[in-house]
Parts: sequence; C-alpha cells; structure tokens
Amino acid sequence: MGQEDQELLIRGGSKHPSAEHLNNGDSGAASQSCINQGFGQAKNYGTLLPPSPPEDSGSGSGQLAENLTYAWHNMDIFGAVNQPGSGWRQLVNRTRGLFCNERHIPAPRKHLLKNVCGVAYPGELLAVMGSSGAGKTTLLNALAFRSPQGIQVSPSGMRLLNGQPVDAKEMQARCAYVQQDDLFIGSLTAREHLIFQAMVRMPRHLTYRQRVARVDQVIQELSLSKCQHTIIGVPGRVKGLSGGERKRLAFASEALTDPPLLICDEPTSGLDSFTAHSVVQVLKKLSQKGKTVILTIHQPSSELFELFDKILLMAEGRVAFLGTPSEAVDFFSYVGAQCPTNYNPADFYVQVLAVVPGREIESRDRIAKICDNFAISKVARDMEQLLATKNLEKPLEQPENGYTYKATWFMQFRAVLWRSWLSVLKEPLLVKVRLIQTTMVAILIGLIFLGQQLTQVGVMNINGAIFLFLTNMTFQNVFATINVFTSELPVFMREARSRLYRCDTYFLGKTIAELPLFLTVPLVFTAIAYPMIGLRAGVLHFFNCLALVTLVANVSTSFGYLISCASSSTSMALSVGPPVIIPFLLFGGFFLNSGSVPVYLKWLSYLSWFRYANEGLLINQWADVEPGEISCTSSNTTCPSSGKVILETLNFSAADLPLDYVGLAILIVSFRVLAYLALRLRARRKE
Amino acid sequence: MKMIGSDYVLEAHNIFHTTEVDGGGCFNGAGNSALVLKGVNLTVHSGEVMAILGSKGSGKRALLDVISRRADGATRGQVLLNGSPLSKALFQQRCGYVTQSCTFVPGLTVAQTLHYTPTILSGYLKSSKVRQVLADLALSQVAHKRVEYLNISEARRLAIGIQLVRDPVMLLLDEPTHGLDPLSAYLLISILSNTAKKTGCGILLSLEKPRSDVFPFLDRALFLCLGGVVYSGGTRAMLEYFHGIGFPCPQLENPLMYYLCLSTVDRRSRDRFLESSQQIEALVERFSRETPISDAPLNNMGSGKVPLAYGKPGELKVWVMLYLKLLASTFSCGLVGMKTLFLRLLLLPLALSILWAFYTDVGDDSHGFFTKNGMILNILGLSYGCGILTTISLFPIWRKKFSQDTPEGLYSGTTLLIAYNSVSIPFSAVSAVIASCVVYPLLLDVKYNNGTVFAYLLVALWSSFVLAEQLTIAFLLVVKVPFNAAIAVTYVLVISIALASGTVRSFKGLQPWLQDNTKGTHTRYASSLLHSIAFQSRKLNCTPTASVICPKPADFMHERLGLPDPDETIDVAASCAFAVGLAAFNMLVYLFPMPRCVRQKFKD
Repeated sequence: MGQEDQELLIRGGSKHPSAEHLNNGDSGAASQSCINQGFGQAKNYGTLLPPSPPEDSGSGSGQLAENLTYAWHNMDIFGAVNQPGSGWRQLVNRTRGLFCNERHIPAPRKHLLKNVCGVAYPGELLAVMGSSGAGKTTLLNALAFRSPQGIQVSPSGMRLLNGQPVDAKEMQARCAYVQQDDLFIGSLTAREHLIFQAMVRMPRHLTYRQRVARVDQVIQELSLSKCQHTIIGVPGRVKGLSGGERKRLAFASEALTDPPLLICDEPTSGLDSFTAHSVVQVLKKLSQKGKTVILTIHQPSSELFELFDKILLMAEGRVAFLGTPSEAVDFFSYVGAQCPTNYNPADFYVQVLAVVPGREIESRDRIAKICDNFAISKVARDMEQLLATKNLEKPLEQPENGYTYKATWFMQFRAVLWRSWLSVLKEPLLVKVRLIQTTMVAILIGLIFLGQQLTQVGVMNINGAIFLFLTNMTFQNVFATINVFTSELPVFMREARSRLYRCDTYFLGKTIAELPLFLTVPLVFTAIAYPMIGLRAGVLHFFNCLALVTLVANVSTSFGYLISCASSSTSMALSVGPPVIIPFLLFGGFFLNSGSVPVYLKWLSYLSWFRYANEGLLINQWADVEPGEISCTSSNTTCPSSGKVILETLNFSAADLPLDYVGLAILIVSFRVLAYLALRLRARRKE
Repeated sequence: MKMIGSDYVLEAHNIFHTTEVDGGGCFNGAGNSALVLKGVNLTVHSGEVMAILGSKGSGKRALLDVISRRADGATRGQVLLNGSPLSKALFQQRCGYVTQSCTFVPGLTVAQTLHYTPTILSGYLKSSKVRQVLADLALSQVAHKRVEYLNISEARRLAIGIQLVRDPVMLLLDEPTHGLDPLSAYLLISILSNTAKKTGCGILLSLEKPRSDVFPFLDRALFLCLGGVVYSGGTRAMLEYFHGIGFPCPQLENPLMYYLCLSTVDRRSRDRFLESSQQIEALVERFSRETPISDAPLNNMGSGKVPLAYGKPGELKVWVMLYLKLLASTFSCGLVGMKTLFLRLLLLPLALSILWAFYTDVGDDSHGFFTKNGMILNILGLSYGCGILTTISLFPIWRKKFSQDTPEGLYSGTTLLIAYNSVSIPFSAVSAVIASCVVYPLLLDVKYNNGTVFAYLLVALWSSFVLAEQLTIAFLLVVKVPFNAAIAVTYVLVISIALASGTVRSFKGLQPWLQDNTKGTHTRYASSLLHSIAFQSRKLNCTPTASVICPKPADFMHERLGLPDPDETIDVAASCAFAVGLAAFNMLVYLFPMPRCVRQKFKD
C-alpha cells in the first residue's frame, strides 16, 4: 500500500514539470515585484527581442535556410454585412436602381479588423487566440493573402517580410498555408500522396531520386514512418489514417518545399489532447529549426499553451495582447483580470475577451479597456517603432518568375495521370462496383429479351432491347462519372488555387486515366447481352454494335464530366443530369418517331446521342435482313416484310451509318471541350 | 416544503455492459463482443448536473445508452430511480435523452416545433409550458424563426427544449457542447445548470473537452477510461480525492481537463501508451478500493416514494400532432413550404406538360402508332419518376425523425405512415386531376368529352404516382441515402416497365412463366388502361394510300398486350388495388422493430 502510493506520487509529480516551473518560476517573482511597486507606473510586460538564432540554420540538404520576420501594421479589414435574405435585398435594390435611376448606394461594410499590428519572428511559434468572431481567421487569411472575395484590406495596411513590403506573389513563394479542413484523395497512401506533391511542388531541376529522398526526409521529420503505406481514407466511409496522422500529412505536403513561413488555421480541431499535443509539437520542432510558424487555435489545453512561444490574443477585431504566456499573466493582472486558481489560462483569456450574451455592453467595455491598455503598453510602442524604422535586414531574393508553376507541363500531366490511375485502380466505386453492376444489368436485360426470333413481335422487341442498351449505358456512365468526379473536385480546386498544376493537365490526366474503364464496361455489357438476346448474327455486326455502344458510353461520360464541372455539388449534378438527359432521350427515335419531330425542335435532335446510336444500331441490325426472313401472318398489316421496311417506318436510312459514327465522335469531343472550359472557368472564378 | 418531484435520485450500481463491435454491415457475420463498461457506479439527485468525462472510446455513450435502456448487448448491474428499477417504459415516460443529432421538420418555427411535441399537457397549460421552456433556454427571441435558419447553438437548445417540454425528472445529454464555440458551450452549460435547479430535473451529460468556465456549474463528475471508473462523485470532493492520492491539480490548470488527461491513454508512442495504461489501471483499482461496491436494497425508500407513472400521450393524440406537423410544414410560408407545395401539386402536371412539345399532331398511321406507343411509355415513366422524386424530397426527414423518436416510444411506424398518407394522398389526387387535364387533349379529341375515359386516365396517373411513392417509402425503411433508394426503386420500375408495359417488349413473346408473373405488377394494368384510351376510345382518322399503312387498333393491341380488347374495369380495380395494397404493406413493415444494422445506419 505505502509503496504503491509512493510510486504514484513520484509518477504524478513528474507528469507536469513545466507546470511546476510555471508555478515556482519567474512569474512569481514578477508578480511580487509588481505588487511591491504598485500601480500607476508603466510596466515592462513584454519584449520584442527575437530568440537567439538557431544553431543549425546553415545546415540543410542544399536548401537555403531563409529566416523571415513577418510584421504587419495598420491592418484594417472590411467585409460585407452578412444578414439573412441579403441576396434578395441586393436584387431588389438593383431592380429599383434600374427603374428609378437612383444613385448607387454603397453596400454597408463591417469593420472586421481594426488597426491590427503584430510581428512573428523566425524560430517562434505564435498562436493567435480568441473567441468565435474575434477575427482570428480573418487575420490569418489576410496574412496569407488568401482573403475570400468580399473581404477588403485597406491600402494603408502593411505586411512586411524582413522589413520590406510583400505581395501575393512573394508570399506564395515563401509561405505555406495549412487549412483547417484537410482534403486528400482517400484511395492513395500517405507516401503516394507525398510523392505526387513532390512531383508538382518542388523545383523542376530536381531529379526523381532527389524528390523521393526529400519525401523520405519529411516522412521522418513528421513521424509518419509507421503510416506511410496506409491508405489515407475518407472520414466516415473508408478507414485510414487517424486524425493526428492526417494533420501531420497536411503539414508534410507543405513542408516538402521547406518554406520559411508556415501559417496554420486551427491545426488541432477534432483531435484529443494527446494527439493535439503531438501535432503542435511537430510545429514546435519546425519552428525550432528556424521557421516562422503562425497558427490559430480555439481551445488549447494547458500543456499546449505552454508550447507556444508567443500568443496573440484578439477580441472584437482588435489586438488585446501580444507576448509570451508568462507575460500575459502579468498583463492581465495589471488590467485587473487575474487568472483564478484551478483555471486554464487559455480558457481564462478567451473568456475575459468574449462578448457574453446578456451582458454585451459590459463585455465590450471590458474588451475596449484591455485593448486600450495594450495599445499604450511597451510592447505596442516597441512594435510601432520597429515598423517605423523599416529595418533593411537581409534583402529578399526575388523569385525567378511571378506565379510560375514549379513543374513543367509534362511533369504535371504525368503526375496527375499517375495519381488518377492509382485512384482508378483502388477506388472500389469505380472498378468493382461498375463491373458487377454492368454484368448484372446485362444478364437481366438478356433474360428479359432472351432468344428473340425474327417475327412480328420479335422485331418490336429487338427495337426495345436496343433502346434499353443505350438507356442503360447512358445513365450508368453519367452517374458513375458524376459521383467520382464531383467528389474529387474540392481537392482539385484547392490544389489549382495553390498553383500546383494547370487545369488542362488535370483534366487530360484524369480523363485519360479513366478511359480504359469506359472501354471495358461496354465490352462486358455487349458480350453478355448481345448473344443472349439473339441480335443479328455475325462477327461484323457484333463489332459494329460494340463500337457504337462504346461510343455511347464515352459520350455519356463526357456529358457526365460537363455536368460535374458545371455544378456546384454532387447532389446538384445528380439533380440536373437526368432532366437534361430526358429531352435527348426523347429524340432517340423510340419514344417519338423521327418523322414526327416538330419543326421548331428539330435542331435539338442533332445534339442527341440517342438518335445517332439508335439509328446506327438499328441499321446494323436490320439493313441486310432480306424479304422472307421475317415470318408474318398474312392478315397482319403492321408486319414489316423486310429490314428495309422497318428502317423506312422509323425514318432511318442505311446510308446514314457513317454519319452516326461521326456524330457520336463529334459529341464526345464537344462535351469534353465544354467540360474543360467549364472547369477552367470555375477554377479561375475561385481565385 | 419541497417541490413535488424535487427529490428524485438516479442511481447506477456496478454496471457492466458488453456490446457487439460492428462487423461492417448488415451482411457480415456476428461481430466481436467487447466489454465497454466495467463496474460503473453513479448517483444523480434532483437539481444536480453530473458530467461524464472521457476520451473517444471510453464508454460515455454506452453508459448513457445503458441508463436509458437503449443499449444492445448484455448488461449487468442495476439502474434505479428512487430505489425502483428503471425500466425502458419508465425511462420513456419520466426521463429524456438528447442525442447529438438535431433534426427538426423544415418549415416549422421554433415555437411550433415545441408546441407540436406530444405531451400529457394540452391547451393553455401546454402553451404556458412552451413559453416557459423558450424563456429558460434563451429561445424567446427566435421563437418565430424557422428551424432551418437556426445556428448550431440555437439548434442544440431547441433539441433540449423538446425534451424539457415533456417535464422529465432526469435528462440525459450526449455531448451537448460538441461542435460549439467556447462561448456557446459556456452559455449552454449555464442554462442547463439553471434549468436543473429551477425545475428540479437531474441532468447527466457527457463532455469530451471541458473548459475551465464550466467547472463551477458541475455538481458531480465521473471520469471514464475504457469503461473503467477513475473517479465518480462530487466535484468539490474530486480535488481532495486526487490530492490525497498524489495528483494535485496545478495552480493554473483546468481540473476537469487535467484529470481527463490523467484518464486518457497516451497514444503518442508505445512507451507512453504502456505507461499511461498501467497508471489508469492503477487509478481505477484505487478508486474501486476507496469506494466499496454496495448494492442498494430495493424499495428502501418505501412504496410512497415510487415515482408516479402517469403514462404517456395516447396514440390518437400523437397522430394528431404528427398530422398537424405535416400540415404546418406543407403550408408554411417560405422556401420549404413553396417547395413542398410545388412537389405535391405541380410537379406531375408540369412533367407531363412537356409531352405537349413533342406529341401534338400525331397521326394515326403506322408512324403515329409507334409514336403513341412511346407516349404511353413516357406517361408511365414520368408518373413513376415524379412519385419517386416527390417522395425522396419530402419523406426522408420524417424517416429520420422516426428512427430518432423510436427509442422514445412516442409512436409506431404505422401511426407515422397514416399521418403521412393522410396528407400525401389527397394532394396526389388533386395533382393527378390536374395532370389528367393536361394529358387528356393529347390522347383524345376534346370535342367529344368522355367522363369515363377521363376517369380511366386519372386512375392510371394517380395509381402510378402513389405506387412509386409507396415503393420508395418501403425502400427508405432500410436505405439511408435517398438517392440510393431512388436508384433502387427506379431499377424495380424499369424492369416492371420493360416486362409488363408492352411498350418496350411485347407480352406475346414472353415466356409463359414471365407472362403470368407480369399479372402481379401494377404496370400491366396501368399500361392497359393507357392503351385503351389511346387506341380504342376514339375514332381513327386515317386514309390508307400506297405509302400510308393504317394499322388496326385491335391487331396492334393484340401484338403489344396479348389482348385485343382489355377490360377497363379490371384494370381500374387492379391499378388501385396495387397502390393501396402497397400502402398497407408499408404500414405493416414499418411496425416491426428494425434489425441492428439498419438502426445503426440511421443513428447519425
């Protein structure tokens, strides 16, 4: 009993040594001296001195280790007022302005950030904290030059790297931005993901072996060795990496190019305490190598809080404090808000700087008081002096070309093709499900129309079977394409925005990687259903049918690409697709005789792949059926006497078969070009 | 003098629980069993707030499910309410459970959502109760706001309000602050604490990341790790207990988070994992020794203290509430109401009016017969399609609410479907009338109106719509994603159309066994009605020439349907019988308890 208690005591005592240091260390002395000296006198609550230069700053594998000091000053940021029904209001205002010739009333703006200033040094881990709506993400987006549309940064705002103003181009070359929600293609492994990133992120003069070596190095640095061959997975659907591993993989993607500045938005959201601690420790390790790391964090535990070198507290769009955690204790004691016993300081600061519903006036007064106190503190004054002098530290090296792609066109294309091919092979939704579905549907249609004979009834049945061929090929391929393509679009949008690769390399790589599948599916389908139904015997007829069905599958796929690129989400694409297909279906010649198409809708039939394919398949089936092959009872006046009569009844001509092939080919190319243009337009609009 | 109902005690003694780890789907074999709760003891009194703290996989939800009698698997130990065993029925009547998912009926306002919750109270008492709950939860300002515009904080409070309006003596909450920002979390916990003290309701909630500012509001705390109890008791005594065993809380540290980290396995490395596991086992062992396990004697407080079970709302009352909720959702102003009315009234007529663009001026020669054949196929397909689309847009929200309300035992699936069909079928009938007016001129000459033929057309359209609707409802019982249910129903109906409609494949050439089987499908009779209307109910206008062939309707229908002259009376009766019969079948199927894999799918 006694021995066990003693062991627990020793173990418990050694659990949080830094906490003991915090209790017994300098803060006590500082607090004591503060009490002795009394109030009224300006206090030295913070320091802007940078940490000592890291010892290994000169080392590296050929990479130039660049130390960046990022300072920002006079940052005023405005955004549109977000109120329900604002879309309708804008529409009403625009309509009224159109009719009444009223003057243009500027839209009301909200002052999101008010004269925010701060500085982040190399070797430092700076945490931006505050309650919801304090402006953390707005500041981070402004620092990374990634503010969404509608957010305006005032011209007087200054963002300085080593004392020199920067713009978006220079920031892109040096800054890595890790967003809160990580997006991956779930069927790849972590190592495959990093190899792809290395192919498109790293400079083009590096060899493949050098890139792989860098990937291995990053895997080691970020503790991803154990899971490098694990599939990333899709949260909630496919089991893969854990939450912490996903976060570290997102860092690894950005760390491949060894950027000197790293900005992370909420890197610990959704993780438990220990996993969050390991993630922040990775960031800490990166900062200790000389990088500048800025992150926003929502609710850090005490252990996490102790890892931060500096904290930046924000409230109501203003800076409430900037300094070390120990200095924060002194500052808040000075302004009359001391952290009580058994309270997490991070929780306390966020609580003090929050607007409490029901006590909004009191809360806002307190926030204003704290921010005003900080504005006149030594830290703020030192920071303003630092910015005013505009020190010319180490001059920035200009990037070779502004907004250039790191990889060549061919390297991008090859990387995207490789990744898409891996994704096609591994995604069960694409390969296995599709082939099983195709086989089952083919067998089903074959059974329904089993063993047709050339009789009066058989002729109509064969026409119906041929049309079911086309309908099934169309809907099956369109929906499969929509589901897979739209689920990957968020990844593409983010990577295109980061300028990893061009839009055309992505589109070509992805569509070419999927092409073998869209050739196999019609082959399986036709090989099963054609003999079962008893369509026209003969090798030439079979291959004609196969060619036409394959073309239909690819037209449908191209149409699926078009719908996917033009729609904003999967459900919207799935909602828009069928209503758009149905008019084309009507012109196929089965629902509506081609000779009965109204004049004003004739043009629409030329866009229908059902028309070309149905005509081609029926010509293939009936063109060489001689009189006498179809058995008729003489009393039946609707029985066709030969294949030629059937085609005449449907207003088809055997001479049109080559035109059907050409029409389908033109539709494939046209839909894909339109899809590519839609994707390009969408990618451009998002930038 | 104490308030009535203000001295309830919820006790859990020595709870052990084994649950099946999901094997991955409905078709896998039985999964593995896992012991998820190992000797849990807790006590909650009226007006107290108790927090269950632990990391993922520690057994927090399992404990709440065991107390609420919703857990699958073997359970040992006792759950007592005022000394009496807490049965499932007793929990459903006197306690409440708020899960993480907040699902409300779109189109209703906050006040309507609370008002249409079935309770014992009615009339003025219920209205005042609703007003009080709105005020207690700080929802009065959003009382007239539609539920789809609520932010997550308001939605959580409304979910709590739905339970509070039933006046429970114990309220269980599963991670109510999950996904909330710190200020909203603080507000929610303070509201819960005030509500507990005001109404005398005991509150038991689970938390994963407690903040410092919620510590004062918690009266009791229970720390779980892998089903074992590290500590269970008052929060004031908690500091003394841990201090006594050698784990004092540092000065600037959140005690809840500090001891939660102490109760969490450290997975950062293997050595840490082993060390923290051993430490937690020692802590669990230590706590179990400090607090001897005691089985409380049954009925130790006397029979006078047994809580009065005054029952639950009757089935008819619940049905009225469901019906009113459906009507309010349908006729609500705003986008949801407009969408609902459009789908119920205008979708089918608009879809069929598309046919006007293609099928005017259709002659009666062989071309015309083929075209009319396609038109019949289109009418069937569009009627089925509109039924599917309307149902997957409107019914899944009710299906989801049904799966969430089933553990509360409020109503059965049959009650839900009776209420839903009471609203849906009149609308579909009106919609079919309008659609029939749209299609009638395409099929027949409007100069010679025929009421009987119009009735045939109406029956064909309405029964097709209702059949697709009921078939989709049947699939939505087991399929969670509405799109997948639509795909499945579409496949079934496409096969039915291919085999039984006569438009894609003739009856005459079918195998005899297939011919007999098509008699068991609705499509055969609806298609027969449409063929009679199109080909037999009017005078043909065709002059045979050398290049124009005039087919005979009897011959054409004989080839297509196998019958030169079908009996419309049988077709009408069979079409309606299929639609109504499927509705009855759904009511029967929704009555049965769901297998575990289906329930698991709808849980979140």
